[in-house]
Amino acid sequence: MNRLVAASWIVVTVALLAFCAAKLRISTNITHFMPDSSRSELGAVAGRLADSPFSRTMVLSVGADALPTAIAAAGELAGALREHPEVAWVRSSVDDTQLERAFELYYPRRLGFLSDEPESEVPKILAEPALRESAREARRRLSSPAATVFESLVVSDPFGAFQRIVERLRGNEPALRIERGQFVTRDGRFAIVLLGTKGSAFDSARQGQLLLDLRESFDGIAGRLGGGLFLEQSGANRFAVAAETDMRSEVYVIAACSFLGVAALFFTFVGSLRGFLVVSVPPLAGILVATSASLALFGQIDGLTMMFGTSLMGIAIDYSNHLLLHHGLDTSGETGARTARRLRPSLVLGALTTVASFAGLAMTAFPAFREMSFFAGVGVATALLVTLTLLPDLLGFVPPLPARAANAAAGLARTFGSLDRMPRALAMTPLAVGLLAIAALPGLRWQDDMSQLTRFDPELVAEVERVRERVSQPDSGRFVIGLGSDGSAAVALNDRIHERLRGVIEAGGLEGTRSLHTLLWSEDLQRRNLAAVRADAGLYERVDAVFAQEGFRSGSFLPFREALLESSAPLTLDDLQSSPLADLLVPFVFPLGEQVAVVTYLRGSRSPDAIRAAIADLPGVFLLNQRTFVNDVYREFRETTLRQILVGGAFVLGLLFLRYRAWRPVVASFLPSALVAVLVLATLSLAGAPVNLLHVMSLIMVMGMGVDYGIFLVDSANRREDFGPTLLSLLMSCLTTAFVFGTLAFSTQPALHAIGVTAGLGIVLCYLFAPVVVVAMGLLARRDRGGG
Amino acid sequence: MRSRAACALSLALGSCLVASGIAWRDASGSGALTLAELMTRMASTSGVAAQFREVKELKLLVAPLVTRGTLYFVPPDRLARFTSEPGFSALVIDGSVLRYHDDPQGEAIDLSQSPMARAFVENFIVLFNGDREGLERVYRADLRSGEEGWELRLTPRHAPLDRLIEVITMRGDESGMREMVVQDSDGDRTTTTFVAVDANRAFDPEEIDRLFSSGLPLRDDGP
Repeated sequence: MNRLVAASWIVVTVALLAFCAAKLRISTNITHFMPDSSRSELGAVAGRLADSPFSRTMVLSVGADALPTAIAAAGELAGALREHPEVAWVRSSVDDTQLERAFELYYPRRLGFLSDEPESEVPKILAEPALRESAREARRRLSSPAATVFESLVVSDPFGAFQRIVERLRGNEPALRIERGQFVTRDGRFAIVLLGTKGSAFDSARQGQLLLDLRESFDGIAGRLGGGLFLEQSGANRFAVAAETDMRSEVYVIAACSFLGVAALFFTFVGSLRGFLVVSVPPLAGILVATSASLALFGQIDGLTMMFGTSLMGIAIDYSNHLLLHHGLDTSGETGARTARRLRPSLVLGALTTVASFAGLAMTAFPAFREMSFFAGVGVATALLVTLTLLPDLLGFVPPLPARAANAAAGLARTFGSLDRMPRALAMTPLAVGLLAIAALPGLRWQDDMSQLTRFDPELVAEVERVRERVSQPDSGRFVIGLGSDGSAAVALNDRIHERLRGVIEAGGLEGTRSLHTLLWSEDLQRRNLAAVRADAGLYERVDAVFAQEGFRSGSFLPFREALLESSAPLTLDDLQSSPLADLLVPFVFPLGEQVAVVTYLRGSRSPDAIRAAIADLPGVFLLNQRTFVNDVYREFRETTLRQILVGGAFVLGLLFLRYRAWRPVVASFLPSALVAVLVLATLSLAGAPVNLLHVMSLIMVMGMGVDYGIFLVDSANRREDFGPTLLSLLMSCLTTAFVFGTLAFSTQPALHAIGVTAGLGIVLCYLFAPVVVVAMGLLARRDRGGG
Repeated sequence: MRSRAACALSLALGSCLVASGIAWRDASGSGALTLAELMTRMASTSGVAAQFREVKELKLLVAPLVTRGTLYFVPPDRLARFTSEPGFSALVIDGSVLRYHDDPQGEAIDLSQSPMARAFVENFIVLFNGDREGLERVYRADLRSGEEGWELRLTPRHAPLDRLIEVITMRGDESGMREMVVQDSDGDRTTTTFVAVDANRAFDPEEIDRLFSSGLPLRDDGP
């Protein structure tokens, strides 16, 4: 290699390292594991909900030996958080400004908010018995301490239209009360602060800093006030930050363990540090280029993709290792470049089939899987390129292999070569696997609960649950979401959702709801209410007469007559969103992509089927369970994804046919991996372990490697002296992969654990099956030739 | 809106304020009571329980409304006013907290953060702390006394109280205060008379908890 080429390699490497160092951002965004919006409306809703104001709300619960201390601390904390650049809003109470503004907004429009069914209900409200009851209630209220205020209102609102609004608003408050100007829990044990973040809950860098600052602020307050103060928090950002922290530390540990295990293996068979460093160049280059390309394309890398990428070293090192062993065990004095040329067809085909097996993933609806597919494709292709171009020059730096390498290769060749003396056993192997599959696979259990893919500190989960329970009503995890093209359409849709759910409540399928409907009705419904009131031509005279009969002075209600003639424009979403009441809207209405979402929270949903049926014909309306809706999305996409995985398998078969143009080598290359896939799934089924998409993904990778094993063995079967080195090369590949995925199996994250166990078991089986099938195919070929 | 409600509540509580101090007597027996003496004795009372009858003459109604109830004062800063007729209502001041509710099983509304309510609670504390200067910052106080009794007129100095109340007049004799009249700016008038006054009421912890934590009258008072 001349100096210019060497310098070019170094410059490119340094540039890529600098790029990665500057740009590397690991994300734990759950939306990456949800189908993109083009594939499913439900998937779109789920994905967008995961990164909406819905998920950006935090609940802070402050406890102390005495409630006044907790209230004081919560007040100070709320004040400090209002100044934080990452905090969009803070609510610790209903303040006077909000109440004054609510009066100004609602009072002039009170007649528009009388009834959900104005045509039938307003006449009843205005009928004489109801008016008489209103008059009696007015007398009762005039005797209360608040009589002065009520006296000024009753003359313009004799049948309590505004009071109806106030009662609805009061019923919509979460399970909190106000004490000394501060939200406290109903049991009076904790002060509560609600806040919304500006950034995504899954932006772990910003959220990590916010959580850190929040804790620092609270510790300062607790230090000053004392009184046994303690803070508990709930929010999606807490899980995101915890997951990112866990993954980051595990990435380092897994990478270190993989490196050490692989290094030990190389010292055994290669016998030198230089040999190990040289074969590490292609996979490291693959990881570096794949990371850079992913950052350039996606802007960031998902945490699981990054971990998957570190495992890629176990696959990509196979190519360089294959070249090193064949060169080192060659006794003819072949140059490195010549060995590379000889092995090139096998290496290229092996890399292509690996990339092809990941190609199926690229066609799934899940951005994270597409990202992984891209990462694997770029990484493997780069590793192959470096193996074929740079590595031959570097082989000159590697000392001769130790004698034990040659001995091991010869021993393996003898052992597997002896298989041809057991033709019956060879024939029985695929048959036995087939029978096992028939017996075990029907019992395979699919697990779509993707929440099981990430495991969190139980203390964190318990804390978050405790805080949620303090502010939520029972069954708060279930809600109905509707999507409107704009704010006005969303409010109108919300009216219809409310109407349908009221029917379910009346039928006993639901206890109650909390929604935007307590704050805002559609303009149409407001106009219909007003029209229904004005349709009663003699209303003022009747009110005056009935109230007079109940002891009110006749003529007192002239302001009501004026109100009937006034025409206030209906209250709109814009009116509310530009008022101090905007914070109250956040849980109920927010932009979701190009649309506006309205959320109705359900309480005591006894019959989800009845709810589903009630909203079935409303377009863009879904019943979701916060805890399981992601699972519904995965269930919907499982079959599609499996089909795409089979497409990947078809690509691999196509490549093998293109290369060999004969069925025996194709079967010899492909069958071991197919058998392994069946056997691993059967084993999981027999072990009672549920299977999820990550198990399947792991199998794709194993199958890709299994096909590589088949190709390398088929290609070396024609050259007797290559069989031993190939078997040794594959043994090292198998063991390095087992090392890499063995470490994944020890991960605390269930997702990585699933990958580790599946891939670890699968790759060992691949190593065992590949020679068996190749030898079996060889025997078959000899028999056919003999027969022919 | 909430401020206005708090303002109204404060007017009603005005009667509580003064009524809770009805148990004193002019120490000299001369009848020449001074405001300073009145304030001092308010501050030194050990505890008060009294029943009241309130008559509201509202321009909106042909006939007056009559309300009956009980009030309690526990020094230095706790006061509760409950009505039993025509219906239940409760106003409770506990330190800086002011709560109101009209359903024994219902949730109380905390008015502590309302500027008006805060001002009122501060006035309440000022009065019972014997802070004459503080009281005179809010009201113009005019005390007259003679052989037949005394009369204290409190005229609000500032908004928003002066827009709602024209004058509060308290009348009493040697046995204590007997009547309070709140004349509203709009012509309405509320007259409260006090009976069955216990000027040396001692409250046990259970009673204090019921009155000020649960917001309920003592058991022999209903509701």
